[in-house]
Amino acid sequence: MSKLNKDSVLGTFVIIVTFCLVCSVLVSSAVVALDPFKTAAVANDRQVNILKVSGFEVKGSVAKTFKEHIESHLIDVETGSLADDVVPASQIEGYNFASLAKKPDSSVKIPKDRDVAGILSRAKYMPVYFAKDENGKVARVILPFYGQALWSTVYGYVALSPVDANTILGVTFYSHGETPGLGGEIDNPRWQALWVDKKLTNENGEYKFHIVKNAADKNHEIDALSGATLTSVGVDKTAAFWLGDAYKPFLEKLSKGEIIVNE
Amino acid sequence: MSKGPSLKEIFLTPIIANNPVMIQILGICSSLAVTSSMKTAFVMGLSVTAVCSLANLAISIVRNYIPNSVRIIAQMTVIASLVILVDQILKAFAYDLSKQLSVYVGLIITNCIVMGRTEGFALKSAPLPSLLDGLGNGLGYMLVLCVVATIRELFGAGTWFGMTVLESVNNGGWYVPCGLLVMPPCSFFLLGLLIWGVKSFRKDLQEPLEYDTHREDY
Repeated sequence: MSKLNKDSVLGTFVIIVTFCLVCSVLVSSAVVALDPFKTAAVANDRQVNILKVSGFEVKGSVAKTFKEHIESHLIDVETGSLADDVVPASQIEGYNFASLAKKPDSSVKIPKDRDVAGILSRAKYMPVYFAKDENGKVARVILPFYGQALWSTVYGYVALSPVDANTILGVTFYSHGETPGLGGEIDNPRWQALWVDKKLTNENGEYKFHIVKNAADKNHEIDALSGATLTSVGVDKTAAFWLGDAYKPFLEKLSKGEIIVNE
Repeated sequence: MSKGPSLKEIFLTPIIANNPVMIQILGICSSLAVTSSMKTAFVMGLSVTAVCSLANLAISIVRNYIPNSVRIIAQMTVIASLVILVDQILKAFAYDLSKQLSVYVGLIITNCIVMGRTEGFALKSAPLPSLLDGLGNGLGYMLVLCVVATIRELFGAGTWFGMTVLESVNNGGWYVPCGLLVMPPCSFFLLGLLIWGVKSFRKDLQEPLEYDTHREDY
């Protein structure tokens, strides 16, 4: 075979096709080979964040501690009851509510007047995590929540007391794109500590938990972040939507003792 | 190439004397976006260095087979593949950082430095010098990123690599962080100051004026 002229039409064609084939094989095999690591990294990230608000320290590996203390369930947001049978048990823990919220058959549009968190639609089902102590007693109920802040959607977990389904026991944010040092201070443990022991509602069951400037109501209000008013407002409304509206049926059932998770 | 620069020169010039960011003013966009903290800047620098040197090496190896009319496309293919590789590796082994870097790793594809080196150097040089050239340029980029990020993180958040250096007020310390430093425009100012500093120090890097204000007809 005579030498292929690289600048001829045929030569160009052959060389570029070869090029693309080699590159695509490289890329796709790397993606496939790395997939288990990526899945593990995502799961590990989620478990670390859930354990952060669970009140349990990581002993040994993250996965082991998670398995010992955390039980994942799915709830039907509308009714507030458990709905574990919707998906296979293995998919509950990593139930991807954020992407399912965008698909019409697995989501519910939020009416404009209720959509204070600015998320347009939510998944029909949401995962909840029950943190159990050594004796199998539920110590905390951990709920995911998310909403629009200043630049980005902020994702977090809030831990509530299972006794009254009203007292906040911990909060963490696991994904956001707020300005580091200003809105990004929602990650600051000192600020997150302010959330602890605040009540969601007052004696009459009205939602009162708010993030405000110069918090006065010691039972329900916490100070906003200085220099990050819009992020604070966004987080406040996110909490208001989920804890004061969307999760209300679930929290009511939880406080009445109607949610029973098997030991 | 009969009498070109030595390998050492090829490697060292782009780090300061012909720094891609400071002197050639390339790759500015990403250097502004990821320099609010040292960790992201460092990892971004490493990623660009890896992509730049490997792309240079790969292009240089096949340089005699690349058809002239589609050479840019061929380079893009190689660079894009490498960037996807780097992105996947970060997602698998440094998930937290890859979340913070988000789209910017993918945007290395459009980083002018990488493309500039493959087109300007690797296409007409042997593999070894190309590899060194890519490494040098990547490290030059990383150097600028780290300098800017050090200033921004230290004075904007009071930390360095996430370690507390100046205890900030938010954490119960005394230091009031400078809010401007964490905003993206600030890296423009810092980069400008950096270029000014380097060019005042090294007079040989100053460009001649493009105009002369004393000219009669001006």
